[in-house]
Amino acid sequence: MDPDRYQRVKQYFQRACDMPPAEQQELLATLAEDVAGEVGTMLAAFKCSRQDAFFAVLDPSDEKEQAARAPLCPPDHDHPAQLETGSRLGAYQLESVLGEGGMGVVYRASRVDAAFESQVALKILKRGMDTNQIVARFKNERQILADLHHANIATIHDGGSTPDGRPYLVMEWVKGQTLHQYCDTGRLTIEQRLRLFLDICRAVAFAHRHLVVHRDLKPGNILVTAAGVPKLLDFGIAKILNPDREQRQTITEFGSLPMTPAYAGPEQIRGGTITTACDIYALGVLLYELLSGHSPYQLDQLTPHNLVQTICESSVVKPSEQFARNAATTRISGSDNPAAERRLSGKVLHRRLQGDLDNIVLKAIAKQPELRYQSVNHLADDLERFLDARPVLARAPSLPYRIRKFSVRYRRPLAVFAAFLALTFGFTIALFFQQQRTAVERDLARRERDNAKQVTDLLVSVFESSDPAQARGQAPSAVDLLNAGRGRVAAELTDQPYLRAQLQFTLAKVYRSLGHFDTARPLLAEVIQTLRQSNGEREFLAQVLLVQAEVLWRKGAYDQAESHAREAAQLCAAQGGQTTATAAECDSILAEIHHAQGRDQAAEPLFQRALARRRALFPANHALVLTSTNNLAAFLFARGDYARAEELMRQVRRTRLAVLGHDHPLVAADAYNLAAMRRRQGDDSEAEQLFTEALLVRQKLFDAQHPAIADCLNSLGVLHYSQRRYPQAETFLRQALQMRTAFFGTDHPATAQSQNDLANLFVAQKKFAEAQTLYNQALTIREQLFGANHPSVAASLNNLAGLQQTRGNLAEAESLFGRALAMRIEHLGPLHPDVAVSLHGLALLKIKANQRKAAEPLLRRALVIRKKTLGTDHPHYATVLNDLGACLYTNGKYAEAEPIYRQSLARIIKSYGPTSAQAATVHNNLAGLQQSLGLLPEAEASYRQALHVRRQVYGDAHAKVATSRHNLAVLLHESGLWSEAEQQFQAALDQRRRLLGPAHPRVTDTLGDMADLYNSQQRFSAAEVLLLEAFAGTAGPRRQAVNQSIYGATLAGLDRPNQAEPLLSAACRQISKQRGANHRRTLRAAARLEAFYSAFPDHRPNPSAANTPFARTH
Amino acid sequence: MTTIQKNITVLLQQWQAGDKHALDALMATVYDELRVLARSRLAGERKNHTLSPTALINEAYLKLADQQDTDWANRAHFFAIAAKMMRRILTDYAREKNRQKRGSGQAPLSLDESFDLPIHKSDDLVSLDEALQALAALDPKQVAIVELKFYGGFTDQEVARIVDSSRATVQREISAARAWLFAYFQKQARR
Repeated sequence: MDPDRYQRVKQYFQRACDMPPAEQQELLATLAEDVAGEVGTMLAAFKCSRQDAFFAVLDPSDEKEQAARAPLCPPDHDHPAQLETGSRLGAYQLESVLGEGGMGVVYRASRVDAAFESQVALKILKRGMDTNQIVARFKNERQILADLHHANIATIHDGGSTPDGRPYLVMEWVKGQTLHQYCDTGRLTIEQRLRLFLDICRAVAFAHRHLVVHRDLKPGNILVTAAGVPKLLDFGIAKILNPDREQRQTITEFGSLPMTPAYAGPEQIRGGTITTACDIYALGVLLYELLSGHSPYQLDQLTPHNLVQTICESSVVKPSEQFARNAATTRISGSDNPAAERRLSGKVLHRRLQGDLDNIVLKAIAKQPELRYQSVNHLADDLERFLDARPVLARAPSLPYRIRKFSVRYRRPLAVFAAFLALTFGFTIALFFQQQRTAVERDLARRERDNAKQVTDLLVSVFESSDPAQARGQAPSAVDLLNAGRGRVAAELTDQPYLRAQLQFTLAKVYRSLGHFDTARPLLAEVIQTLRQSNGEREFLAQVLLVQAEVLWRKGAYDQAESHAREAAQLCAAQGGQTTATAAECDSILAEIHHAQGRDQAAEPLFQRALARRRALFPANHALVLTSTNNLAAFLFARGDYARAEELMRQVRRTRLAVLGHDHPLVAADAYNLAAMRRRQGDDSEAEQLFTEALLVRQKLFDAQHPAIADCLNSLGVLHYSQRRYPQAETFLRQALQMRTAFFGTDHPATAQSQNDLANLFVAQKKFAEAQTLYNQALTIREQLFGANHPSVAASLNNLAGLQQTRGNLAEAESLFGRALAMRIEHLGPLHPDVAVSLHGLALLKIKANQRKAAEPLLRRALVIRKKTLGTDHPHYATVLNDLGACLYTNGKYAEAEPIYRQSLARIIKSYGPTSAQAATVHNNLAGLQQSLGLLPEAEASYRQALHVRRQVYGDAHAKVATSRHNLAVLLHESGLWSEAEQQFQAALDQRRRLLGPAHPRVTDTLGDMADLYNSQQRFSAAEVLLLEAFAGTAGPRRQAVNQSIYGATLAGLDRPNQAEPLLSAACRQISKQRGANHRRTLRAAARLEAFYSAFPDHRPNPSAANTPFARTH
Repeated sequence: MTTIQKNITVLLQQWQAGDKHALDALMATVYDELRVLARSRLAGERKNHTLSPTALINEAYLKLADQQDTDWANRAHFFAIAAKMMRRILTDYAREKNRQKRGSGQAPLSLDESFDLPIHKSDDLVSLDEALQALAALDPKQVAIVELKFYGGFTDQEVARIVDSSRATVQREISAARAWLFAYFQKQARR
C-alpha cells in the first residue's frame, strides 16, 4: 500500500466508523472492491481491538484523569473561587450563593432591567477547574438546555461569560422542596407519590426523545414547587446522543463524568457505556426510596472499592423487605417513620409494596441494563398499569436472570483484590476497571485463569515493592488488608478451587515477604492439599512446595523444609524438567536448607548446581544468575572461605555495575554486602569506604529518610564503634536510630536493632544507665512485636545480661542469661541449635565470672546438643569443642584440654578447610596450651601454622595477624630465639599501632612482652621506654599486673631495687590470684621475683616469714 | 545544569530553524534524561508514586528546558520528541526482557527489571514498534499521535494541543491507527 491509498482507505474507514452497520455495508458497496476489502478489514480489526487489553491505552481518554494530575496549563490561582455577591454580571446582579456543586457555584440573581421574570438562578463555572474539558462540558450544557422546553424541566433564559472568561448560565429560578422533602413533609400517599413520579418519568422520556441522558438524576436535582409541579434541574452532565442514530438509543462513548454513586447503575459506576438505561436505573432507585423510605444499599460507610462491589454485585433487597427491616442505616435522611409519612400502617405499607411494586422497582434497577425497562416510557406505562390495577410486565427475577448473573461472577476475584490495591496504588484500580471493561465478552474459562494470573502478578509486584522496610509506617494497614483478603478468598472462592489456590499462594508469598511465616505456613499447606487433591499442574505444585520449604527453613524446621524441597525436586525430575528455572530454584533452596542444617558438604554442590543451571538458562548478567552467585558467595563467606566469597561478590558487583550503572539500588546493596565482608575480614578501611559509597549512592537515589540510608549509617556507626572512634560512632548510630524511629516508629525490629547497637556503644563508653535504657527499649519493642516468649526477645535478654555482667552484677546477669536460655528451651525445644548458643554464652559468662568450673558442664551440654542436632561434622560442634578446650585449659586441666583441641582442630579443618580463620584460631589455642605444657617446639609449630593461615586468610595487614606474630614472638622469646622474637614483636607492634591506634590495649600487650624480651637481652633502658609507653596506654588488670612484673625486672636491671621490689612482689601475688598458681604467666612472674632476690639478696624477705604465693602447688 | 537548559531550548529553536543535527542532539539528551528519571523513580520506590510516562516527560521538561522559554511550540515539540524517546526506551526494555527470557544475545540491559511502565507483555511492545515503523511509511503524523498517546500517556485533549489539532481529529486518527495496527498484528500472526 502507498501513502495516498492509505489516506483514502483511512477516510472511508473514519466515515464508516460513525455509521450503524447497515449504512456501513451501503458505503462499502459503493467502493471499489479492493478498497472496500481494506476498509472492511480495518472495521473488523477495530472492533476486535476493542477487546484487546493491549490496545486499551488507545481508548478515548478519560479527561478527568488529566484534571487530577498536573495539567499542561497550570490553573490560574489569582482569582477567587467565587464572585462577590452584589456584583453585576451582564444584565444580572448576584444576590446570594444558593449552592456550590462539583462544577460551579449557583447564585440567586435578579435581572437589573427587569425585562422579564426578575428572579433567576445563575451558575458560574468554578475557578481553578477551568480546563478545556470542563469548559466544553459547560458549553454543552448551555446548548442542550436551550433546546429542551418542557414544563417539568427547568428552562434556560440566558448565558454568557464573566469578565475573566468563565461561562455562566441563567436558569429558571425554581422555588420548591427536593423530591423526598416534598413527599415526606406533605405525607403523600403511595398513589400520590406514583403520580408525581410519573410526571418525572415523562419529563425524562421527553429529554431522551431529544437524545439527552441526564446521568445524574437524584432527589437534589428534582425540585417540587408548592403547586406540586416537579422540575428537573441540572442537565450539567448530559450528553447529546448522536442525532444520526436516534433509533438505536445507545452511545458508545466511555464516560466517567460526575454522578452520584447511590443513583448510579453498575455500568455507570464502572465507567462503562452511558445509555438511557442509566437514567432508568436512577429513576428506579428514586422510586425505591419514594415507596419504602429506604435506600436499596447502605453506601455511606463504604470505601470506593466496596461501593463498586456493592452496587455491581450484591443482591438487592426488595423495597417491601427493606421497609420491613426498617434499618436506620438504609433509611433515607429526613424520613423518620416511612409508613406514617405515607398515611399507612407499617403492615399495610409492607403489603402494598409486596408483589408488583417490588417487581417494578427491581426491574428498573436490574444490574444488567438489558434486563431493565426498554425505555422510561415502558417504566411509566407499567406504573400506570399498576395504578389501573392491570397486570404489570415486571416479574420476579426468573431463571434466565439468575443464569445471566453468573456471567458477572468471575469478576469477583478481581474485585476482592482491588480492595488492597485501592489503598496502595490508585493506578492499578484504573487497570482493574480497564480489564473488566474489555473482559466482558471473553471466553470465561480462559479469562478466569488469565485474570487470576494477572491479579497474581500484579499483587506480587505491588507487595514485593512494599516490604516493611519500605512501607513507611504502612505495614500494619497492609497486614490488615492482607488478613481481610485472606478471609475473603477462603470464604468466597469455595467454588473455584484452582483460582483460590492461586490467590492463596499469592497471599502466602506476600506474607512470606513480610516475614509472617506463621500465617504463610497454613495457607501454603492448604494450597498444597488442594493441588494434591485436584491432581493439578505439577509445576505449580512444585513452586508452592518450594515456597513452603523456604518458609519452613526460615522457621528453623529444617527437616520438614528439606522434605518439601525434595518433593518439589522429584516433581521437577518426573517431568524431565532438569533444566527448568524451577529445578534451579529447588537446588537453591535445598542448598540453603542444608547449609542451615550444617550439612555444608551437601550444600555446596547444590549452590554450585543452582548457579550452573541458572547460567545455562540465562545470560551471565541475568538477575537470577547474579542472585545465585551472591548466595554462593554468602555461603562461602560463612564457611570462612573469604577469598572465594569475596571474589564472587566482587564479580556480582562488577556485573551489576556494568549492567545497571553506578547509581542503582542493587549496586549500592552489593557495595554494602562487600563492605560487610571486608569488615568481617578486618579490613575496616575498605569496609568504611564501601559503606560510605553505598551511603552516597543511596542518598542520591532515595529520599533522605529512606531506611536503606539508615542501614548504612548504622553499619558505619558500628564500624566506628569497633574502631573505638566513639564520638563518630555515636553520631552515626544516633542518626540511624532517629531515622529508623521516624520511619518505622517505635515498634519495628530495625528500630530495636539500632537501639541495641547504640546501647553497645554506650556500654563501651561506660554510659551504663543509658545503655540499659536502650536495651530495655529494644526489649520492649521485641516483646510487643514478637510476644514475651520469642527468640529475639531472648537475644535482647542476652544483651542485658552482658551489660549486667560488665557492670559486675553477675547474679543479675546470670539470671537474665538463665531467662534467655529458658525461653529458648521453651520456645525452640531443648535441642534447638539456639539453645546450644545460649548454653555456650552462659558458659562464657561463667568463665568471665571466674566460675570456670560451672562453665564446663554447660559447654558439655552444648556439645551434646550440637552433636545431636547437627552431628559432629558441623562447624558449630567444633567451635564448642574449641571453647571446651579453652575452658579446660583455663581450669588448668591441660591434659584433658589437649585431645579436645586436637579433635576440634580436625573437625574445623574438615568443615572450614585448613586455610580458614577458624582453623587458625584453633591452631593458636592449641599452641597456647602446648606452650603451657612446656612443649615449646610443638607450640612454635602451631603458632607458625596459625600465623601462616591467618596471613593467607586475612592478608598481612590485619589485627589477627599481628596477634599471631605477638604470640609467636612470646614463644620465641621463651625458646631463646631472641632475634626472630624481636622481629616479630616489632612487626606486631607496628601493625597494632597502625590498625588499632597507639593507646589500644593490644598495643600495651606487645609493649610489655617486648620489654620482657629486652630485659632478657639486658637492654633495660629500651625496655623502660616501651613500658612507660605501655603504662600511658590502656590495659586490663591482668596485663597491668604482668607489665608491672616486667617493669620490676627492668628496674632491677637498671639497678633501682627499691622501686623494683614492691612492683615485682605485688604483681606476682596479683597474677597468681588472677590466673591460678600454675599458670604460665604466674610462673614467669615468680621467676622474675626469684631472679631479683638472687641479684639483690638483701631484699629477700625472712625465709621464716615466707608465705610465697607463687609456690607450686602440685 | 544551566548549560543543559540552555542547550535544549537552543536546540529546539535550531531544529525549528531547520537544523537537522540539532534534532539528533535533542533526542539523545531527552533519551538520556528520561532513562535516568525512569530509573531513579523506580529506584526511589517512593510511597504513592504512580509512575506515569507523562509525569516522567513533564519532569524531564522541567529539568532540561529553560523555564523562561514560554513558547508553546517549543514545548509541544519537546513532548513529541519525548514520546518518541519513551517509545525507544520501552521497546529497548522489552527487547532486553525478551532476550533475557530467551537467554541469548549480548546487548547490555538498559533498565532495571522492575521497570514497569505500562503493563504490557514485552513481545507486544516489540511487535508494536515494528508495526509503527511500517505505519510510519504510510502516515507519519498518525504515528506521532499514537506515540504521544500510547508511550507519552497524554490524553486526547493534550495530544490535540501538542499536534495542534482538534480532539475529535486526534480520536479519529487514533481509531484508524488502532484498526490498522491490529490488522497488521493479525496479518503477522498468520504468517
